[in-house]
Amino acid sequence: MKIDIKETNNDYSVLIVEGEIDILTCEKLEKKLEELIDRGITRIVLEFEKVTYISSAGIRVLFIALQKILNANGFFGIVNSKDSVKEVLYMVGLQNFVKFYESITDLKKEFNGEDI
Amino acid sequence: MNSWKSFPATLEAISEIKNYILDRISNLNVSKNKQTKIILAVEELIVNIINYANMKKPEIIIDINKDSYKLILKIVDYGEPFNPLEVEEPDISLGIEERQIGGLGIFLVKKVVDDIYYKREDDKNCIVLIFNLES
Repeated sequence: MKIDIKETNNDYSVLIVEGEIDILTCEKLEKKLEELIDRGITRIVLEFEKVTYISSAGIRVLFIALQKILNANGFFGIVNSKDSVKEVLYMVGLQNFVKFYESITDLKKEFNGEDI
Repeated sequence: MNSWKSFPATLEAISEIKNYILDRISNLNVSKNKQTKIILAVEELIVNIINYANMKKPEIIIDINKDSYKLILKIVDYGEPFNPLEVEEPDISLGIEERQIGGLGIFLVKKVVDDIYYKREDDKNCIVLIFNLES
């Protein structure tokens, strides 16, 4: 799994994740999210276009980050998720807590339109 | 020809097991979406076995067969009797604060398989997963 930070502005930080988020790779994502949140960055967007797989180990990482982000009144979004990945995330009800966007453009529209 | 293969019961072996299964089903016309579900179920069950089964022999056996339009995948371990289907399901309707973060693995397995059985055979736990295949 590969993780990059593409864009950081006042509204949010975009974390680009690539590959499989499974029991063996999820720690890398966990550390990255932890590092951002510890630095006070609690408005985080995950760009999931190139994520091909996620298991419960990866979902656990998302929930841990989510709890901290929501406690800090932050924002957590997922952009461009493949249907197969989205299907698994929806099975566990992640859509109740995380906003899903079709594209970064959609996300930007929302941020430009209102102050979240 | 044997339809089964043995792997060490370690987390590191999971990639090898996934690749073995993908290779074995590659000529069965299994959709990408179905492949993802098969791999997800296998990862969740194996992680569960490694975390909870106190194993007499640190080995996991994977057996794959096809029966008309079904893929039958058997996962066998030498741990103490443990039926993953009896694990209490998490309540996914709870709010983020009340929600338990663990326990989603088996929940997901039940969601993605078309059928699942557990049986104790001698000193082994056997989990049989059934996936319906497109005709």
